[in-house]
Amino acid sequence: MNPLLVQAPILAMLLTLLGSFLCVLLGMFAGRRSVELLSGVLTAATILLSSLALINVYLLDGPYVYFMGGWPPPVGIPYVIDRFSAPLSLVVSVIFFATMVYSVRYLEKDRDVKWYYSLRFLMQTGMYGLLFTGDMFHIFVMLELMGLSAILLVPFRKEVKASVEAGIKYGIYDILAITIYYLSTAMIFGMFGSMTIAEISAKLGGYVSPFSGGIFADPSALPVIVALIVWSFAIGAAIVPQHFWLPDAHSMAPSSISAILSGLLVQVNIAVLARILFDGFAAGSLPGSAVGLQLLVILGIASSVVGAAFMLVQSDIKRLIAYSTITNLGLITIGLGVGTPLGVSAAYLHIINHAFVKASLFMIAGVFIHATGSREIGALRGISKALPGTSLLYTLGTLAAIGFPPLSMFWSKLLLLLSVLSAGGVYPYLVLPMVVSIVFESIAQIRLLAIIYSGEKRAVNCRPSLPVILSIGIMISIIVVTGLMPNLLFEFGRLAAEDLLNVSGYVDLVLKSLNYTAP
Amino acid sequence: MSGWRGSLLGVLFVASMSSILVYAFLGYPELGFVRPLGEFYLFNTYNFENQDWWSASPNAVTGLLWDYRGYDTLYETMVFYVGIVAVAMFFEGHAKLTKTGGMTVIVRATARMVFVFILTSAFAITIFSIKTPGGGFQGGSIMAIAYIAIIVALSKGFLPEMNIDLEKAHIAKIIGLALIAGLTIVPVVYSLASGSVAYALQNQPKAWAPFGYPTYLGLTSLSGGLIIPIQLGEMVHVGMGFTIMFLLLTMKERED
Amino acid sequence: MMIATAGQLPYILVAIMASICIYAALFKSNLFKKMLAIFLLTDAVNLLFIIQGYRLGNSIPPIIPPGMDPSDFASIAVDPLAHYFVVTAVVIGLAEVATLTALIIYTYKHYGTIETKKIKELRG
Repeated sequence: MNPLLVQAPILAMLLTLLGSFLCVLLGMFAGRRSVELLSGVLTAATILLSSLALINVYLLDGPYVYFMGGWPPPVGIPYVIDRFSAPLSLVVSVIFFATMVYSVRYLEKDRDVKWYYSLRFLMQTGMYGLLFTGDMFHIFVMLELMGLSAILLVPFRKEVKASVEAGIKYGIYDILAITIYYLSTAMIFGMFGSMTIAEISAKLGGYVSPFSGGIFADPSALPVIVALIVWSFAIGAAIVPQHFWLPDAHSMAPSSISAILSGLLVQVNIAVLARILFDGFAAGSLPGSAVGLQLLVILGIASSVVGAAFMLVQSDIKRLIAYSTITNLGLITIGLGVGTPLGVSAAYLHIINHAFVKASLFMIAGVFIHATGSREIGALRGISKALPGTSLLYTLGTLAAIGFPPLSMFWSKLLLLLSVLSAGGVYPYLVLPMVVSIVFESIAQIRLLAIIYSGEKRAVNCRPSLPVILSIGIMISIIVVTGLMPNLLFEFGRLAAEDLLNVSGYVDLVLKSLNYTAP
Repeated sequence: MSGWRGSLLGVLFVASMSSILVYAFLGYPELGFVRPLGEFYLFNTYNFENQDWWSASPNAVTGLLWDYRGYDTLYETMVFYVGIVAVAMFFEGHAKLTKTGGMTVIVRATARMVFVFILTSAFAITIFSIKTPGGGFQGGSIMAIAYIAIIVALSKGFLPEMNIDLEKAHIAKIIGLALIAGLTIVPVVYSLASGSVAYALQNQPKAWAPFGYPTYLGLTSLSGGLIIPIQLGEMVHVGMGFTIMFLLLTMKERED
Repeated sequence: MMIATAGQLPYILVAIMASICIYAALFKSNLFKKMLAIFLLTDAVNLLFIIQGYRLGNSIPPIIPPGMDPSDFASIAVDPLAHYFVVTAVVIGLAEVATLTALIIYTYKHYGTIETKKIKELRG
């Protein structure tokens, strides 16, 4: 194995870590241009490193485990770089790069950008860690890293009253969620005596570890632990009925941060939850652990319908897009909750497609808000004549969001519907609420499009500069191109679901891929 | 939701939630049961017979902190850094520190002496954390007390006398972080350069990964490889971080 | 029906403490009380870790005394892993408190109150 390929994902993490404090140093002595230059170079490097990791996992060596500090699990922390986590890490790198290019001009009037870039880097590190890690306690640390930096970025414009309110609301609920997760890790430690995700499912199957033994508590406590984990991630991922902080936080943050929060942060939460439920608790195949999946389906239906219904009554463009995130998260959790390979791959593809679509929509909304000076939907009347290029990009993004056929989200929505239909039991009836939510969302989005294209040409405060348009263009072109290659998308989804659902393969990879003699 | 409705809801919520948790805990082992993984760390952390599995630190918690689960601690340090950024981001850019004179020579000399004592104990607690309770965070907290005591007992204006202000504190904090990050990256760079197997934050050489930091730092009593230097980095980071937080929060108070 | 033994009483304490904290964090309207509840919840979990790593009898701290045989040491010392988790969580808790305190101070600056019922710029 080539050491560069092996170390690539870890190098990406460490580069973002270096960036987080070098930004502050440069910001204090060399001015904002150098901070932006450093951030640009480092985020571009992370794209390169994540693509190396992706190529390695798909074409060369296949999935592998990186043993932090050289310790095999459960002694140390394993990082699992497989076909589920590697593509998502590339998505993280690309969106962070695009929003980085966008922020240079978008934040031109703001002071103290060094903290902004520093916190962005830490959020990126946290996301990589969450996607790769195979350790329950490490997830807690990384959730704190990602969560606290996101909480601070929401009220970055601290002079705006409402943004501080959104920040404290988000802060209280997100930290409460993470602390509830911490409670569940303590219970897992008591029951299994180790924190490695792979050991949980192995021990539930009767495995006795040479380091940490077997199970030490009555497994009748498992449903409680699973319910606590699902509850904590349901708050963190804003699934109804704990969704109330999301529209506030995502609409009041600077648009470059809204793009990341809405496109990546909540989805990373869902991806980690999937990793814990499927690989840790072998969901569905063990008594007591199926409760997690049933909870996910119920919460998912509530989310998709409630989010779409709220979209119909919004008058603020960013709140409308934020509620659309809740709807789509509901769809994703339904796909995961169904638990079949088709459902999981559909949810996985929806995570990726939704990330690009939602990030680009928020970025364009930021351009509109700067141009009109208002967040009201009514103020957008006639904007298409003033900013035709941006409006065209917005139209493409919206069409993708409502699932217009050749664009990327059409395929994942189609797969989600198919997966529900092909699952047994009562699941086929779920198509009805899903279609209702998709129709509601389409109505709300098309109404917004109609407003943009109606009315006379209006005056605008400022026009978007080239880097802003370029960064949005990158995202939209990814949406269009991936939509034109559905076979490639399906292949990615199928392989990711295969790696996620193959519990014994995951356990063997984590626990047996290092050659050592136990003491 | 006030009055009896609120209290009823509270009682119901607490009763049902705690009975669910108690139900889960009833199957747990009784107090006093140490799990085998904990005994593994205890047995191996300073076991000369099998150095593939040791951390070279007699203090098992310190060995866990920066060797067995060092990658956790690295990001725990970064979470603390976010806490500092929180205070700095919200309260920076107010008044600058100015020297306030007017202290007598006796006060200054005493302050300096106490200051040096506290700093020495901070260093000792950090460096000897491999053998006694302590560590980088604990040492850093004590180091911060040296500065906070001066702010509380004398005044903020006395800090420039101690050769510290906000900018210097920020730089020192970043130097501490850079030391930690550098020690983390060295094994990765070694692996890239030599082509052999090495993992981030690897401390001692193992049969399956030959890279290792020198076990003893010159003296035979200071074992632990990378643990002591990385703890020093954490001490500076935490000490300066607390000082920055406290300075900014007190400045705010004075202004309003 | 299982009956709790004396060795399980600490777990029951943790369960009650955690439930009260979650209730307070969700339903109290004072932001500062919410923050304190979250911080106490962290402490309840820390207590749970300590309970699970405790050893009865002549237990010693997880620092090997000079000259002691490692296997003897492993049979009398307390669990270092549980202690490690608590040390980490305490530092993280500090960062949480710093973040939330900064936000609460700013909320007070903007709104003149920290009662969530009176802070209603956003509709939720």
